Amino acid sequence: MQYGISRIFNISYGAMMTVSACVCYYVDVDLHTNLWVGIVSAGIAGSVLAVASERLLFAPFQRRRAGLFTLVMVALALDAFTQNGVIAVAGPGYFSFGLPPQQVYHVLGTVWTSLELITVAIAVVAMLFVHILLTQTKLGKAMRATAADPDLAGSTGINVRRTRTIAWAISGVLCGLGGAVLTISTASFSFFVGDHFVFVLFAAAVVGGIGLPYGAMLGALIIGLTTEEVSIFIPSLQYVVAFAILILVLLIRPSGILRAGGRQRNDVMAS
Amino acid sequence: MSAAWQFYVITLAVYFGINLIAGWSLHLQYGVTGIQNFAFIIFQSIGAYVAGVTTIGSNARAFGETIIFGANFPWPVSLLLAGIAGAVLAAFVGTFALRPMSKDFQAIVMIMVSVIATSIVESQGGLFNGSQGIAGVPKPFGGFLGLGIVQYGWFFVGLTSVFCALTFFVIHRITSSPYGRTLRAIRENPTSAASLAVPVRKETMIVFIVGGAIAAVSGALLVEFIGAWSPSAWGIYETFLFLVALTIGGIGNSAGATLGIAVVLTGILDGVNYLPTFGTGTLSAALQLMGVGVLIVVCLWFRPQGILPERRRIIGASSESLIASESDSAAHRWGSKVSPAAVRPSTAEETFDSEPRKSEISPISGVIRPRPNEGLPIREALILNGVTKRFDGLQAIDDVTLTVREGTAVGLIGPNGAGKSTLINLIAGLEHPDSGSIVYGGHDISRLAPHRIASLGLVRTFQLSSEFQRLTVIENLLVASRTQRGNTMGQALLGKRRWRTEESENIERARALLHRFELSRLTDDYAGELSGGQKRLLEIARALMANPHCLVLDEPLAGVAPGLREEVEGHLVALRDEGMTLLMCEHDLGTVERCTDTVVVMDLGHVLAVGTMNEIRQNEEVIDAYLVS
Repeated sequence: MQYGISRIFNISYGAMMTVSACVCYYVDVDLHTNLWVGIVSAGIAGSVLAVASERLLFAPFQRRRAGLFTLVMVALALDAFTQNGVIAVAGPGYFSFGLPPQQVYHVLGTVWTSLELITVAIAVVAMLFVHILLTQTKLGKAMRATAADPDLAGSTGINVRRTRTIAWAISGVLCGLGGAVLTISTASFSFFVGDHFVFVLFAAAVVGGIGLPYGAMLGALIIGLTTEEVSIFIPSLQYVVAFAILILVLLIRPSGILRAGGRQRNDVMAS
Repeated sequence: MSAAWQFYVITLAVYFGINLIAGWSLHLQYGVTGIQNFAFIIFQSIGAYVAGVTTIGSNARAFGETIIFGANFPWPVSLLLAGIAGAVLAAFVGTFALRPMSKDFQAIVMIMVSVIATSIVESQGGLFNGSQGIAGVPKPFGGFLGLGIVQYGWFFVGLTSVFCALTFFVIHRITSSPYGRTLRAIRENPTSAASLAVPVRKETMIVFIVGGAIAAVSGALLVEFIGAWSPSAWGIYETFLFLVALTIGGIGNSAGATLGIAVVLTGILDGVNYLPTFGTGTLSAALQLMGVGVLIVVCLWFRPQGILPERRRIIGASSESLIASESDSAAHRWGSKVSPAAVRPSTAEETFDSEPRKSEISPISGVIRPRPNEGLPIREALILNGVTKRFDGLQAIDDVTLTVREGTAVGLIGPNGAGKSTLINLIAGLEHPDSGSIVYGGHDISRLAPHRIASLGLVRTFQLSSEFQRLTVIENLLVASRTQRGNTMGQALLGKRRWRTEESENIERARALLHRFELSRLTDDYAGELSGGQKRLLEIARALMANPHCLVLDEPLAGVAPGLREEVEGHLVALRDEGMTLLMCEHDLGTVERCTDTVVVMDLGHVLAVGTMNEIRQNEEVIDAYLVS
């Protein structure tokens, strides 16, 4: 979503997840509050981080029309900075939520823990929220317009800067929630928790189509489900399969992945 | 100097040397050729791994490691195998990661390749010993020389320097040759390079493979020095650090790459990490990386071109043309910033009257190849037969049949969306028709790649400026002399003597062309700094440098300032009068009338009418199409 709307591929997403997870941990365990309070504060932390990095770092570079290489480098720098910042402040190591044993539910013949149910619920609510936001609201329309053509969107009276910032804020919340839920569901985490999820996000974006929020969701589902299925049977092949999917998509539908970009090019040619 | 300090110096020197080898290979890939290789480190990693497992022998079993195989080859073999492994991996990754795609997308794919590759290695305990990696790799000549640890260290410094010198030699020969210029052209604009017959994918792949092999050798040296390998030490951040070093030093400049590696990798990171009394604390490592993060952002903001920017290669205009241009106007001395419309003395009368013009610039020997079929009966140069192209729901080109005769100029007109540009893209091979055939000079070109079509002598120009911005004006022209010696990796490595003579002949030809198009005084300016009109002239001159038989011009007057339009037009008329086969798409009907013999009118993807401009004016269908749209 961040990429789709502001054309910045934010590699530091993983680090943001880590930070949010830390906040969640701190609020929940160190401050002895409710787990929900922790999750909510993780969402807030994620959004604050996202907006700060967009406003202070990416937007200025974009206003200069910096190349994408520059933006990727900035994102990597931000990632290195954030991740190492966390390590410098908190020290390396593993953390564990001392969660009570969970109640087990049986749904349609499968076994779920309450935590897994909460995770799925949060994911569904988030997807529904994004869907309604993009299709039903004026803000969503503005976001899609900004994604398609920022200059044109600006000239039709859309406040591109504000739209982008809001998009980053929302995706920051989602990112923070994701980080918190992820670490809670795995019960413990180290500071590199975000790293391995970054590639799932990439894959989601590439397979599903860059710049298309639905594409990203679809891609995440495909990649997530296939790799999980594979990991049940042959755990060591999980990443090999992810890699194979990536290569296949690139070889078979290199233009399909770039649907948004490809359409633009055709328009230029037709004119 | 105590042993600890000696060893500190040795470690720094070896690391510096190895980083230089790796950094120069990345410089060749990214700085020169523009491949955004964010997966760079996996090539160094595979080299290290292969060198490890081919020398480790029985040590592997002693350490309880599971690896692919534990051979005990003598030293140079392991290095060679590492290089081959790097090349093979690069060839594999290149098949999907170097496919034509937008540049940002390439960066993302490379990052994914890197992250996934690390994950695969870590999860495959049975093959790579998982995340533990391998340890106990023996040192080359370790037992054989019988040196003490410090002396052996100095020996290794010498060994590294030899490889360093070798790599520098290779990189220097490539970057200073015509081949290096071709690579820089690919970096600046792959589409334009392909339109000048440069096989972009092949050359990119070669650079990717050679760079991968060099990186792998550097990895092999590293593993032999430290004796251990672990996948996590070769993560995406190592690539990031190399790119930071290159960016801060200066992208595209070998000296810049060297400086960046010295400052960032050796100075800030290794220099601190290996201090004998300091050690690598987690906190200091974290602070260092935070510092590097801040440094690169500051650098990208305040000095994106780096400390030592890529230097401009000065070739110089011919003395003759400089004297000629001096009489042009005194304003030239103010440099290229002066508006060309104000500088150019050319007037409407001069350019409109094609007769004196023709005699004035008539064949400068060697500028345009003598036509091979002079005096022969007129033949068809380009035949389109029933060409059709659909984009999603849009019928862009619908059953177009047209012929361009050898030595004639054909204009292509029609309202916006008529399919003119698409047709040109189909002819030039940027798109391929769904059905129908395009025959040029007896070859069916409808399925050929752009560079193949260009090498047959059909050269196109682009509607949007497509100059190689960070190449000088004359270098832009020289890229088009594809067939010259020294334009392949092999010949570049053989050295300057192989290509010097032919290069200077081409420089003379390029100077003559620049003189003809009145661009002589801009010879050594970066093409990106020219005005819109000058860029168009440059592009036409560049196309002519490729010795075309047929020139396809896509709106040659788009973006040209009104004062300069007539000058560009004059050059086009002159080209036609010299007998160049032209196909030209243009909006300005007056220009089309003056520059072409026959006009083809297109609307909604098909041909409405063909004839002279006067005949077209009478055609009611054409008038309707223009008025309606």
